[in-house]
Amino acid sequence: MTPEENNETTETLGQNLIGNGVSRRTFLKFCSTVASAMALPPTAATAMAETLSKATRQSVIWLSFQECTGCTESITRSHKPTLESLIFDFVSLDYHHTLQAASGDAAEHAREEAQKAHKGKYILIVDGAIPVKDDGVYSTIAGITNLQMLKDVAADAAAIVSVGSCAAFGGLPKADPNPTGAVAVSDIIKDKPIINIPGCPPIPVVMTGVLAHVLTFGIPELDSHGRPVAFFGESIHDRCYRRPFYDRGLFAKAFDDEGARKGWCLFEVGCKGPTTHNACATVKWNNGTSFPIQSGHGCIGCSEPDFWDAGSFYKALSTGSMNPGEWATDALLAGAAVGVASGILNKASKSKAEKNHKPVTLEDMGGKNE
Amino acid sequence: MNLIDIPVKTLDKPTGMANAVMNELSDHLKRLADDGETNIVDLMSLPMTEADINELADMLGVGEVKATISSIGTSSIRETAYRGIWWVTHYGDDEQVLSELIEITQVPDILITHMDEIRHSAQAMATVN
Ligand code: SF4
Repeated sequence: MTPEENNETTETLGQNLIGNGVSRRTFLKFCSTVASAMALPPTAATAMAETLSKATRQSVIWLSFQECTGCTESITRSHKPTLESLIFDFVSLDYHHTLQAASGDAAEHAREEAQKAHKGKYILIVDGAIPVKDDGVYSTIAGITNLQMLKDVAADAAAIVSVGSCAAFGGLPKADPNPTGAVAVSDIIKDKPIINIPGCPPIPVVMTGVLAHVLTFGIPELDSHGRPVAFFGESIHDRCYRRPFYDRGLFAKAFDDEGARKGWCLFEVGCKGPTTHNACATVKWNNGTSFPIQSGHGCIGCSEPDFWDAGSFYKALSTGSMNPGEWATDALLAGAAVGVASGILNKASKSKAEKNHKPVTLEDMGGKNE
Repeated sequence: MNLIDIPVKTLDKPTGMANAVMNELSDHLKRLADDGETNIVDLMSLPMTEADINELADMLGVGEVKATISSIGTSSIRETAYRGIWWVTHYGDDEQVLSELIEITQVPDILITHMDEIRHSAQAMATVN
């Protein structure tokens, strides 16, 4: 038993971890995994572990608005302690209405207390979009509209992390015809640093990695959509293991043809990998088991703005307003010079997507065989 | 026909990446020898196939130190036949590889016991005795 255990307020994270039986090697392993996932310089893992262990636990308020709880499920999905879920030992999660034991008045009281006690210092995490139509009446918690609660809590936050495509870009609630007038956090809050971690849901280690980075080195470098470059700097297509087939022009034309069986590129059955920025191709899902393309389905582009309205998941990107030749060049350019090229590509695909919005039909699902 | 009966396979051939990594490692090892500069190469950030990783492992060979750490899954730390080049693999609780690193150093940081923990143990031992 350490004397520090009795003193919650001044206890450093390092002391807290020893008290909770989390070894420094486990901690360093967490930092190594995060640093590796974020492509940080080699010395970063040790520096991250040292900085984090000397700090006191960061107060975090997590607000869930118009959402499906998938983002929270993603980060806490395992019953066993995973390395990703360790992040909950590193922060003091003062309010999260799905995870906290308190409910009703007590829960809201805890939020107000944390807001007062850590004014200007807490990190606000938001998942879910915010309905603003008719003064935001379409989603309320404890009688307070999401819109009002976001404004109140954001006012005293040090920084905001928008977790999931709904908080980052509006996501599913914002999909056409957007009956509740759903918008992203960044559409409402303009005077605070906002980090977007999109994905439907985001990859657990991406959420954990970004949080660990914020706690140690501050806000990471962000792209034009407010996404951390470390995880969203490259497209799925850049890191896809099926890329050699794309480069050789070997495409599956339907999900049950010879090309599909041989594991060829899924571009022609609708893969959105070339326009989607995320880390699925390297970090993968379900404890590194696989990711959609490895399981035989094209990328649906869930970490890009307005992906629900970007046309059928099964329609090839090259159909519509762009011809295939144009596409191939653009995609290759994006692979060669990620920064500039993919930025251009992004804008092109976004406006194209807006023009091409069509509902999915049964025919779409059958690929080109129908 | 069952899902598992569909023979979906991708080609897994060496792409030449192992040679490129060997060049980089040779450069790093020289710097460690000359100036004591340590380095880490993150294999998961490189587009390497399984065949590439196996080829690299063959090229580096097996050295005389092997250590296993058990903490939320295991970590395996092996010195390669090139002294000062260590192959570090962190596994998660389901045996999945979380990170795979080549460390160019005298001893990887993760093997060194942290002073905070030594102090904590010393205190605990003093209380018991
Ligand atoms: S189009 Fe999709 S499946 Fe084909 S190489 Fe690109 S990301 Fe991979």
